[in-house]
Amino acid sequence: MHPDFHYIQSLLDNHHTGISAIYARFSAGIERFVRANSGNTDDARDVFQESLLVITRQARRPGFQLTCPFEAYLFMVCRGRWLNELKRRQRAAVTIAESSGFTDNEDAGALADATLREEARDKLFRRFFDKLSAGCRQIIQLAWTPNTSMEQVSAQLGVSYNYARKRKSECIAQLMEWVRAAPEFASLR
Amino acid sequence: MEELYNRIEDYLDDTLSPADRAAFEAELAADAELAAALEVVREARERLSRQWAGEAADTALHATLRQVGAQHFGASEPAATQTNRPWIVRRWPALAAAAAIAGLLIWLGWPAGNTDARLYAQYKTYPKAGFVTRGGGPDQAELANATAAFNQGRYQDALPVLEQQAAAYPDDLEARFFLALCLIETGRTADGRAQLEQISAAPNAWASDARWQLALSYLKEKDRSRCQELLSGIPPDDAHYEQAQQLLAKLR
Repeated sequence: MHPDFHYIQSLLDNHHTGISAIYARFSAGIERFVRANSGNTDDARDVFQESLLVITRQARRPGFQLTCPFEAYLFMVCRGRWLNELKRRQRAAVTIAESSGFTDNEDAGALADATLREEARDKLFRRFFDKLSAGCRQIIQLAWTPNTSMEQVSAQLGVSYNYARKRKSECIAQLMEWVRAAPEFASLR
Repeated sequence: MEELYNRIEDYLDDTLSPADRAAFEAELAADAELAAALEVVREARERLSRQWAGEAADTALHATLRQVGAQHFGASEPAATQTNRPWIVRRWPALAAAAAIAGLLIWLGWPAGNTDARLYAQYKTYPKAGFVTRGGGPDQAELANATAAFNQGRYQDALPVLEQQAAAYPDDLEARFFLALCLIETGRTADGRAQLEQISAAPNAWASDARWQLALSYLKEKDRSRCQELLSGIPPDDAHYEQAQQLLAKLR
């Protein structure tokens, strides 16, 4: 296990003191980086916060391993998110001019790329799930809750077993149609 | 299509008999399209169930990050850019235009109520309806019509069917939630609010949406103080907390 994993553990445990230590040690550098690249303090705070959330979600995936210093990983995730934000704001030419003392690290770059790609793919599925009707969302969420049978789902919804199966398959068909038709579905692989 | 996804689900749920499972796996090996469909369903199940399972932990972590972040990042300052001119100078033309428009609006006596109406229009979004029959009450065709009516904004048309459904099944909180929205949309605001107050009184899947819509119903009537009071009561772990905080900031 990487010696910096304790930072990740603090995030996974929502450990206030450990998280304060992450902010104390790394926030000033990220703030300098964002401010040097067309952002302000509010932007830096948001990028830092969202990057820590994304890293935590990645760390919850089975098989996650920290393969580089936490600082380098955090910086590369913040950098990627800030680049995406600048693109979203439609800056004419998006370039990162200033790295504020952070050094490039190949492992960190690869881990950050994988993290941001997984986050984007999670969002793709979530976006189309949220677009479903409330009834569809309810039946899919119930059916995909671990250890829940369709008999339990139909009883919970107060509908017949056959109707619940039919409705679930229609809702999944709709979700699959939207997801597979999205341009990002292929590009985010 | 319906049968395809039922078979995929049965396979992923491991509810097929050994013989049916072997036959399905043989089909998977021979049919690339079927195998691809299976993988997307498997991916959707994995991604979405992991997100749902992590929602409470995400909310708690988010609250900590906000709190700690506020201590470590200073007050908002203008962006550092390649030019050394002060921000106010670079933005002067836009500021001047904004000031002129604001001045004109004030001169015209722009009332706060217009702001409320604008914010209400900005924040009023309804979940998509999809009503399911429970056997008694309205049948599936009537509920399908009510679904279409609600989603198309024909609230008066959806109203009678939802009233029947809510009367037949008082525990159908989904029907009662959408009934409340129809009542508010058709001018029976007090009746709609009564429904939302009852739904939001106990923990359930619709309580969060009910609290949020209740607050918005007061904004619609330009009752800022009651709206602010209700928004302030939305707890940090609520799905509408971020929106509530944003709206509160705009109402101040």
